[in-house]
Amino acid sequence: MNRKIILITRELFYVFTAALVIFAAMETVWPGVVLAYININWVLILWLFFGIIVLINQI
Amino acid sequence: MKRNIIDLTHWRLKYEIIFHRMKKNRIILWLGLILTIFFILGMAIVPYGKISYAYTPGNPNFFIGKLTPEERVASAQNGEEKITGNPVYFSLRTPRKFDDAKITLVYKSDSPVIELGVLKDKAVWRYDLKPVENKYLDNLNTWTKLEKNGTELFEKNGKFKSIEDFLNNLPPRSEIALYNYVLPNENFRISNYKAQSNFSLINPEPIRGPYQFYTYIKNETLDFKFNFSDENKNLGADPVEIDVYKGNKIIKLETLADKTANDDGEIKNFDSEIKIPDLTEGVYKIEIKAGNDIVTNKIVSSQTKIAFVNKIWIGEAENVNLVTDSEAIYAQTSEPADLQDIKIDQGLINLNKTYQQFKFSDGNILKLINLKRGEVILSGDGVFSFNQTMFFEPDFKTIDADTNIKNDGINYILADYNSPDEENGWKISQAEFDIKDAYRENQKYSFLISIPENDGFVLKGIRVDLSGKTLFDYLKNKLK
Repeated sequence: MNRKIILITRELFYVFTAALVIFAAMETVWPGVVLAYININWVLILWLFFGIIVLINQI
Repeated sequence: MKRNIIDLTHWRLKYEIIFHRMKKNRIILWLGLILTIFFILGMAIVPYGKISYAYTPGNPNFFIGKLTPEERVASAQNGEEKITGNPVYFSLRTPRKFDDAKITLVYKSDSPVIELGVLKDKAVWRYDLKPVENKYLDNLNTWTKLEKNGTELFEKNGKFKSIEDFLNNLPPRSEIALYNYVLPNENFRISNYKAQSNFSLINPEPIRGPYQFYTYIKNETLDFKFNFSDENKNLGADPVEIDVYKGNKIIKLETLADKTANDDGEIKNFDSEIKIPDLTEGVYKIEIKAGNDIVTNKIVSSQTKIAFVNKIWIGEAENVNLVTDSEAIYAQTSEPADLQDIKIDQGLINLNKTYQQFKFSDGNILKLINLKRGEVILSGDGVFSFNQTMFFEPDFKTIDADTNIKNDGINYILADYNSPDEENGWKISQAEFDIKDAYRENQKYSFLISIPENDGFVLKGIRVDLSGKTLFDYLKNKLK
């Protein structure tokens, strides 16, 4: 796969990992604060998608 | 060898370009995440203290919940929702507390009275109601109207020159009606009233759940002895709170905690006494906040004037007599065994279905009610007493869907009311609420739309404008 896409995918995976952790922490402290504007399910799906691509490219 | 060196240089260059671009992309991605977090926090904290939410039928909304119960609302079509029952409720979820809410309704309806309310006290399901539309007031074309600072005075004969003039020289109480306006009953006096020292039973029959009553004090101690039963039919604690009011101010508050939050059906009796000496002459209100498991078996007092405000739920009893000045009386029961014909003066309410409210109205001001059996909830816009000696009405009449302005001898109406605007066939009305002390559970405020004579209310949208403390105000208070 194109090296540039691999690097971007990896970076996106990192960003979505951080987003998931931060959003989950925010929801725990202040329920509804994230869910009011963002569906965390979609963040999780995108995180999984980029994670799988990163894994495939490492094999 | 030479080829290898060229290849290496080529790849290094390529990686340097990618690395350089990645740096940019990395900054953009992480900046995006940081901005998203700031946006979310900003919308939750509402630093400037003002935010608006909107609801359009058919589009689910995180902040403004859909109208309930579902059986009173037809499914949304073309961004419109038909409300077929009364009342309907909606919740407003806010990330933080606010002080004021301005609700704008866009609707079509021919119902005479429409009101909007916010839940203030869940224990007694008390809503603070504000007018949306009142056709009775809108149709008083032949009456003189005076207006000042949002207050309107409707006069049948145009006697007063200003609202101040009216307030300083109040006509007889029977000629005045109020709508969304509070005229204190502190100056209410009963002529020839004499205090008694001996105690007597106030309620010959038990009363279930929460209730409020007025009493009159003159040169005597306010003294009420209560005997309660906790029937423990429903799960959960059943605390009882007794509040004594003078006007709108609580002058005494007593809480009786319930340590056994069970539903084993074991009846527990307990007593309480409220005693306040040296009170000035006038009307006092006593409010009992309790769940429906609590039954007041006995109220014993030396006070002779007792009038239950707007609603009374008679417990298990037989042959109950009451007096009321309610224009219309509503009766309801949840027990099939207590379905009955309720005698009201010469008429009757045929209470033949459970969980359904039945209405009686005959135009008479004072009505005598006779119930064969208890477990009936009676409600109306007036007061209820167990006999005529106890009966007194310290409140002014209020305008509602049951008021007959022409026949009730009303000559003056004092109202805080604005008629709805019209735009492209849709009515637009606003109601403002003080929600500082409104009931809020799971970050939600609860609202109701009351349409007593609903002949087809079509909702186009709800907009909520909230205002409260700014972040600066909050920090200033914290640092004090």
